[in-house]
Amino acid sequence: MREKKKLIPFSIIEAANSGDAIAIQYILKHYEGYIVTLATKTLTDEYSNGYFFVDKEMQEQLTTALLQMILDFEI
Amino acid sequence: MRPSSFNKIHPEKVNYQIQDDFQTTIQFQFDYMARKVMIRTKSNYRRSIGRRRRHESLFSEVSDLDINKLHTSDTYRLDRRFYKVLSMDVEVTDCQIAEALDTLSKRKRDIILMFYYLEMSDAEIAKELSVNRSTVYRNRHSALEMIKTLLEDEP
Repeated sequence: MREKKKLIPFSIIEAANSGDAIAIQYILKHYEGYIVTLATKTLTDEYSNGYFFVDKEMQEQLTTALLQMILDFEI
Repeated sequence: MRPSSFNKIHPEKVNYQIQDDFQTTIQFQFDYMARKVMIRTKSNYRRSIGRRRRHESLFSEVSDLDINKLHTSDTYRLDRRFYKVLSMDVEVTDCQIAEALDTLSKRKRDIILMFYYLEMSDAEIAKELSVNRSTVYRNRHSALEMIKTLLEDEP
């Protein structure tokens, strides 16, 4: 059975939408793992060993987009 | 279920239920939006990188020929000499030629300037200066000889 999705409490969404810093930080924390997953790239060297590394620039861009989205979200 | 059974649900409870549903919907919407925005941003980022890779190249990898095409050289008014012929400004860009022209007499200089820079024919110049056409021709040739000796001596 599929694990139940962890959702952000409604009150926090509401607070973040109106610009509350702590609530926004909570949401960023919540999606931190997801952002890192998206920003992870694999590099392969000449012995075809894979290396994972996190693209910092992409991570930043994703965070910015998320912040923008939080503020633009319409309840 | 009898119609009257609807009345048994407390209106406040219904209200609460709706409120709760609404909040859960918003929660799911928020989650969906957040993930969608992030995925979109990621694909945009990747596409912009690809676009840049296609259109841009490193400065060190550009061939010398292409780099030479990019440069321009400035021209300054002081580098060139202006001569007034027939109420027109004639521009001489080459410094050496300008120096040679300075040594000529005014008439010879005018003839040279008219012939080469204004592209007039001997007959036109002769008409303009009201002299014979052969005079213009002789003047022009002697002037050219003088310029030639001057320029040959210099280097």
